[in-house]
Amino acid sequence: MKVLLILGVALLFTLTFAHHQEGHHGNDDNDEHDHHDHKDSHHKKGEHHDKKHHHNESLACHKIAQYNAKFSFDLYRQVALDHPSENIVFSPYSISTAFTFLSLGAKDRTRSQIIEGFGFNTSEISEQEIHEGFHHLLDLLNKADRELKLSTGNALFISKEQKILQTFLDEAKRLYHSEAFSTDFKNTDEAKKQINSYVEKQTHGKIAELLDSVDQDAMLVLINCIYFRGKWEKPFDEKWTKEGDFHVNENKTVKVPFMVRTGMYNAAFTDEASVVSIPYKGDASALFILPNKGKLSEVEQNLNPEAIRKLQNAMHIGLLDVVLPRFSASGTLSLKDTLSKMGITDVFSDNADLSGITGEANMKVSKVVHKAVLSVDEKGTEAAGATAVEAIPMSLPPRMEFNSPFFMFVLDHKTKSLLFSARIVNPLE
Amino acid sequence: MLRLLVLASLVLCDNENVRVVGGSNAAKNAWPWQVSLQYLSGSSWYHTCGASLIRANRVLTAAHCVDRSVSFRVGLGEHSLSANDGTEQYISVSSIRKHASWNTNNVAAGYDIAILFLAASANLNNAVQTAKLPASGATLAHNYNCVVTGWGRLSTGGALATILQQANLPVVAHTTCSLSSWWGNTVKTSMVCAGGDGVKSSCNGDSGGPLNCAVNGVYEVHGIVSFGSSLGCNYKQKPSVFTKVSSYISWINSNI
Repeated sequence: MKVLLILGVALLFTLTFAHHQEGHHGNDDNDEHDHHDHKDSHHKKGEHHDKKHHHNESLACHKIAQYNAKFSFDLYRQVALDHPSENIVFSPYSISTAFTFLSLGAKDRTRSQIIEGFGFNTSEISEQEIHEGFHHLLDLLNKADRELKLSTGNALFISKEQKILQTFLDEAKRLYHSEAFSTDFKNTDEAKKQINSYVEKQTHGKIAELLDSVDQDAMLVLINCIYFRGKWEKPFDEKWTKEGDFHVNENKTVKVPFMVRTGMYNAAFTDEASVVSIPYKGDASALFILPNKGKLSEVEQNLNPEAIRKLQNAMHIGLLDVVLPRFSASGTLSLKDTLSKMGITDVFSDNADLSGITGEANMKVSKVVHKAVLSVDEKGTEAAGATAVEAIPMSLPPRMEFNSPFFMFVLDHKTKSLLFSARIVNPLE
Repeated sequence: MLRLLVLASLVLCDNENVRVVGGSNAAKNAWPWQVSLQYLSGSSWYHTCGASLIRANRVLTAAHCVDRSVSFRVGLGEHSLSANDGTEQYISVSSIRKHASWNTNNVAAGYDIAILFLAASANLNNAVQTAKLPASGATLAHNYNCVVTGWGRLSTGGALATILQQANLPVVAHTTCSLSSWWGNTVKTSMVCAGGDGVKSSCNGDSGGPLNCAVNGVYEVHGIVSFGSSLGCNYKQKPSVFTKVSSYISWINSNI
């Protein structure tokens, strides 16, 4: 059986050969046949879609938003259980995109496990709508006129020796704007370099060495990248940044630079946690959640869209001293085990049917690597002359000091998607 | 050599006195109408704002100081918030009258004014006196020297003062203050600007307190500390902004 590798932010699927237990099915004749049929029907759908897309821009990506949100938190909780005490940083958006992209080439139970495992209820939303939703999401996130510095891309690295169905390549290109590259996986160093430099370019140098090695049996590597450079709508002033103690746990304290700003913020102090939403320029924001003493795991295991909505309802705008560590955290997740626990098993096993990619059900996903880097610093929008100065009352504000483990969620409001989820246990790691 | 050392330590002491932001310790009982507005949390009272005693049982402050629904009391005759000065009187606030046009979410709209009714009358003495208010409509000239007082932060984002602070802040005329490089249209004619030199200012915790300006040798409360800039308390060309008391004399008279 071949093995597929999935990379996210970069998210990586490696697909390489392995022996299928039931042997392979399908033959060349059938493939050719399939191929043709699909291509024709595709074309029509594509045209139809384009028209609809222009007239009804707000709908497609919002249709998938609630499912993605639910999945994001389900995944978060599972990842948190698997990594109980370290930093967690990942992009739910990127992982969902990569797997729904992969599902284009999956069949039968392999396909339904991915669709359902990623939280989609197929009695409410069709697969066509799901893919159109991601297509739309991708378009909106990459819109050049947005003030948000965000880019995301999908790429396929295909073994020179491998024949990939044209239908799959067409779909990949049309729905996921995927670029396709021919790669010589036998030359493992060269292949690694090609993939790593693509990722490095897409992530603006933030992720330079995604892969340590490439499997020489690899036939296809699927990558989803997301790069996000958020600039605060109201920057922190570096002048006030001071070193302070961050309490990693009861026994360990580290020295971290803390940024401070007194301003009007949407925030809440609840029985479980302190929460503040800090807007980025361009219709996105970061939600910081600081669990009250001893409430970390309780808050964490309750993280779901409903809990977030409840917190947001409790928030109101008021004067606040925000004290936030300046940090850069990265996380690498090997998602195979985590996703398996969430019911996505076939695609990683010899039962995998990814015949929509090559025409043969003889490959599986061997590895899913996801790497994300998240930086928080003082920088905001460059103070343009016209920028209104914020008037703040001279009363004494409550203080929200993120000096113990906290959660951070980066939300894109335009597409209602969760770009990053993080648990920062130690800002120095 | 010894003499040099003494000089050096004197300089250090002087620097420590630089407070409100950029002010200095007030003399004891120098501002007998100055009030410390305090709120109850748990079983302790905490300073939150300043205010001015305008009748034995009425206190003038900023509306934004009393937006929260908590229990308030006033500390009169206060000098050091942490020590017993022997002159303190604490009286609880029995009711609050905020200006009807006050908008919690928009301090820049103005109307940041409230009158607190005290549960009992204060004993007036040399440590506790009522403030004199200006004549209705009175406007002070550009650069007119006034004094802001309060226990607010000694620096942006910093700690509160324990000893009452005072700083000289010259009035900035509305024509200057409303220039786009200053506060622009954020300031209204019902506000007073003072300071803006980048050194001295009011800061968080001073809100509601007085801007004291001597007219004919008698101090009058011309301003109520209202807002400042998120860029910092003492930011150049972002003077401290006060509710202009002379614009609200009739409101005060009908709500007292």
